[in-house]
Amino acid sequence: MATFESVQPTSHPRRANQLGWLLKIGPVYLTLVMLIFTAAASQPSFLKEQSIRNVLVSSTPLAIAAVGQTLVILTAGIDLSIGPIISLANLTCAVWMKDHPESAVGIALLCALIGLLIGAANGYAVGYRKLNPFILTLGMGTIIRGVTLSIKDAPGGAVTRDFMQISRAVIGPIPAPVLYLLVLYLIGMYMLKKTPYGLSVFAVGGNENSARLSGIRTRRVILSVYAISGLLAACAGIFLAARIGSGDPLVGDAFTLDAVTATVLGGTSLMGGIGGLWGTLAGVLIIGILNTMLNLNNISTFYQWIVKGAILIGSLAFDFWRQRRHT
Amino acid sequence: MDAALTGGRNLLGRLRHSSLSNPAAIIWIAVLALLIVAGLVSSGFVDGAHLLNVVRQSSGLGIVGIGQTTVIITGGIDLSNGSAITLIDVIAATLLNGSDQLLIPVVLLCLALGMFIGLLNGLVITKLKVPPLITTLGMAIILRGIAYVYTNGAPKGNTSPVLKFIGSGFVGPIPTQVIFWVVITLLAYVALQRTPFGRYIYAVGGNLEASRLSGVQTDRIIVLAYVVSGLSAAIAGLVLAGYIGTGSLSLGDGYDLNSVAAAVIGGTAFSGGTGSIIGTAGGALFLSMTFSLLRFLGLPYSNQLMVQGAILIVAIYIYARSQR
Amino acid sequence: MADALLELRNISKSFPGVQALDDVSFSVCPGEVHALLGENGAGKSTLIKIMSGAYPSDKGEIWWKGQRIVYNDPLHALELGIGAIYQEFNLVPQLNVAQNILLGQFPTTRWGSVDNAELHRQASDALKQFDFHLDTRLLVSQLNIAQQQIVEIAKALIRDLRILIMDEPTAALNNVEIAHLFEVIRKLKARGVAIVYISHRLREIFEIADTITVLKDGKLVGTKALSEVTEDSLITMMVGRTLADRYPPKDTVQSEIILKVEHLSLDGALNDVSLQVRKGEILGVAGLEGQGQRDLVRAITGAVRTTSGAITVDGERQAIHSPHDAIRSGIAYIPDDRKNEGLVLMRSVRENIALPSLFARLRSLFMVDEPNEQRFVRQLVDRLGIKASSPMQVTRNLSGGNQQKVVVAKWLGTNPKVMVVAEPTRGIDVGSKSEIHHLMRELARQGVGILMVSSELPEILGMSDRIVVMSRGQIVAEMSGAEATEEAIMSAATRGISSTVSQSVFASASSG
Repeated sequence: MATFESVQPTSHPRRANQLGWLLKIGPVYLTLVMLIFTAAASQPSFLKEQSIRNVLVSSTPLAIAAVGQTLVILTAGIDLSIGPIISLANLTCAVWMKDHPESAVGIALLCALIGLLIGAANGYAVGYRKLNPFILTLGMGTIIRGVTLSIKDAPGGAVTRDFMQISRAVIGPIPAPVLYLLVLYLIGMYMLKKTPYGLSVFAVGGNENSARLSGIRTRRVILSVYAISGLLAACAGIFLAARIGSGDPLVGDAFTLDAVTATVLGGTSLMGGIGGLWGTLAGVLIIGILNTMLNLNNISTFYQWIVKGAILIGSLAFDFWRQRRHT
Repeated sequence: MDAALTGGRNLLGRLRHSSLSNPAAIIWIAVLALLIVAGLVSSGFVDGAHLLNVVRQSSGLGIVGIGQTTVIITGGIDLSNGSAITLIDVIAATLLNGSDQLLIPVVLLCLALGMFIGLLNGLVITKLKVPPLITTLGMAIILRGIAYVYTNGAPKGNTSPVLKFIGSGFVGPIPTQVIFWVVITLLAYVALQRTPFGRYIYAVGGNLEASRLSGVQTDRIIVLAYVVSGLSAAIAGLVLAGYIGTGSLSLGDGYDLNSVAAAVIGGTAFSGGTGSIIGTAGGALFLSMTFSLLRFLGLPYSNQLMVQGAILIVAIYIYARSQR
Repeated sequence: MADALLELRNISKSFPGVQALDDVSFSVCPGEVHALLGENGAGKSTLIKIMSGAYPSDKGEIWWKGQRIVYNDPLHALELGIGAIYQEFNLVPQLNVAQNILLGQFPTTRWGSVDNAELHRQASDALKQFDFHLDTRLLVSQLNIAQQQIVEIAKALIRDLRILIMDEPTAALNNVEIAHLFEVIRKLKARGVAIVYISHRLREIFEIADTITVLKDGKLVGTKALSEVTEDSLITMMVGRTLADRYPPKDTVQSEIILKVEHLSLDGALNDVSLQVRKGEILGVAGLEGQGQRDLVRAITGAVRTTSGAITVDGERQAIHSPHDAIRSGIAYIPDDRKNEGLVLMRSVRENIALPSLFARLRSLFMVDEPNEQRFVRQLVDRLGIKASSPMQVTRNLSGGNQQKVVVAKWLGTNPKVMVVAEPTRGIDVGSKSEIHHLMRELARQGVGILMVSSELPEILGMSDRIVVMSRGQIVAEMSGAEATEEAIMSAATRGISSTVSQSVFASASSG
């Protein structure tokens, strides 16, 4: 039997761990790079500053929402209410702002708060009442959807022109949304990998019982990740309102699935405990570029569906294959 | 009327307590309660013909629910059945083009297609170890895309008279759809409760490794469960195609999540190993009746959604409590 | 004791179907190593779970430092200074060693981030204090079992506990590591920490314990100081009867070979294993833990695929690639982990018993032949004396002994030619244990060949017609049941493994 002294991991454990991490997100970034090359090859105008800016700005809402989804999935949960929350925040923001243009900022903050509260409700049910996250967030999402449609069942509302600056502003050559994303992801990554809270999130996803027995307030951690997810979803919806100028009760529909796809593509495991935001970012960009590429090439939206679905399955199958090789 | 309502609710509470161990019973009691409440609130609702119509509208969901229940019992989930319904519908409508000439081949093709979709799902899940959620979700997206590409975004076609009869006809006073639903439900009930296959499904869902060590060919059983789900989606697709009469790219919308909801509120646990077809049938009925009632009362779609979501949450809360 | 740190008074606890503890009193003093002994099912696990706050007791009181207290949960106990290390580890595999050791108490910098340098330093210190050397940057998922246990121990020790409960801590350690562990324990004693130590390795107990408490069938047999007992007196306290009258007579061996295993190999686990079992014979497979017995069993029963080798049943060569194949060949497998591998806990007794026989025996066309099935199940239930309210009862609610009987019943139903049994009576109450032994002998009488893996030496000696000893994935010795002795088996088992502490490492005359 091997003693602890005779263990031979790779010569430098730190390097081994970093290697493991790179191996996880390596493929995503590789795919991303390949995708960029393909896009550039098929459409030279792709690399123009304008189109790069477009891709980044149009990926912003998904990028924002995906942060929350990643946090939730890290705790071995899932949030299916993201899309509906985006729609709710988006619509109410636009509708209320139309009637009260003078309180634009206040309204935006209120919408964000609503998202936070809905998320907290989700988190309470999953963390404290131990309800199944899939069904719970599904039900909650449906309720939110109904609420949104009852406010207005068709696109409408209007945000103030100043408000639209949120998505239009540029600082030098860099669009403001890119900066938002930069800040968000940097803060998020720091929080996840460097703070006790972040470690708790991984611990809860990895082995909730152990985490609890070690004094980590697992129920609170779970509530917090869903609350953050709700908050960020609302922010994504508000951003969309700023970008499009009006509200749409169904705008958020595709986001739930896309957020899950981006997260999973980026190497975060549905079982929890493994993953991170670096990968999610790549996943978001892949989806964004794919959308743009298919649009630029006039490939019908319908094919996009097929491609997206295949990517989703393919990425996980690849993950499994890779794990098999290492065992 | 108030006294009757409270009396009814008390009775329900007591009944609920005694049959908490049998979830299927709960949902049927709930269906009964809903019927009573509906009758009290608006007598037109429980009128014979109208009630039959309501039951008819739950048939599609009920049929899909059978496959979903089977899959959930094994511990998985199938989110591709909604898109499968849509695909089957557009294919059937296009190929039949209003005549019965090719009825048999087209029906067989559609059924085979449904089973094939299930087979693919099952293989990816068992051999490539991709989680069922992602697999069927990805499949759903792909199927949706295929449906769009196949019709080029503009569905056309017409289903055949026979199919229309199945979908919207009557045998005596009973809608044909309902007969289909009942027959298929009974078959499924027998299959799950009385055949080795059914026992294996429950065993695999209850403890995969123990079942494997007991000689159950677990991969095969799981694949079969998804094939059954694909088949039930195909049947539902054909029936619904007959009902609306044409191709439509949104026919299957909502059936995926609603079939999960029907199963869950009918007592099938997400964790697998337990559940019943009868319960799901009750769940489908309950959900459809609720929507119908809300529509009948003039409540808009938005309110329906809110109620639907609330029902789901209440159901899992109740079942979580009863587990403790 | 006047200066007792923790006192459990008149504790009783029952679970559906079994009285786990019955009026047990137990106390621990600072700096004392208090050993807890007893057979499986004696109540040791339950007692320490109550001590650590994992279960509440039905009756009785807990006193801490002279004051009555009531626990709410393990965290509460931890705050008081009572911690436990169980056999199932409480680690997060995706985090590294340092993060696991300091789980929930991460040191932070001024800005609120985790101070990684400090984290690793504290973790390394915790390990070094007890002379363990492990790179704290490794992920727990990269460690082997012994290393994981070290992390588990360091994790408990870093919390400055007053009482440390250890449940079979040496099960996965080798001699050097055990010696280290004892050093750790002595250092803790010096610090005034009390240790509650569960083990069935008597020699270890004699080396390290101050006080010994023996439980039997949920009741307290006695608490004695080390000076007051001998190995034999302890065994008598634990078992209550001599070895001889426990086991059924061995008189069933026939001459035909029913199972032949030739040159079985499995990468990293089995190395060219060959053996034979005759009809009516019970072949005991002995050896230290983890020497390949489990792999052998899983290979023969198709639970894993072998790299090479041949299996012949009743003269016919069989290709066994899955449990399904094994069953068809007439091989039955009773696993040691009955909860996870032997039963579908949430289904009924009837469904479990019928499961392997459904397709071959209990079927008419596509349907289950229900009348036949009911008869089938009832016969087996009666034959094994399974105590359940009805065949429809969910197996989760049965006692350990009855659950094992359901497992045995299910396999009996397949009319096996060969029965492979791993740890047949682990975790079972004494009464059922004897029933199962008699049943095994009766099966042998009917011509079934039985391959039995057991880590309980008395069981091996008492039941086997022939014994093979495994070490490092190979068979290193073979002897007849009549001639075998403890010493012979032990010396064969430890051959090639460092000999210094081998005496205490192997479970001697105690039961598991």
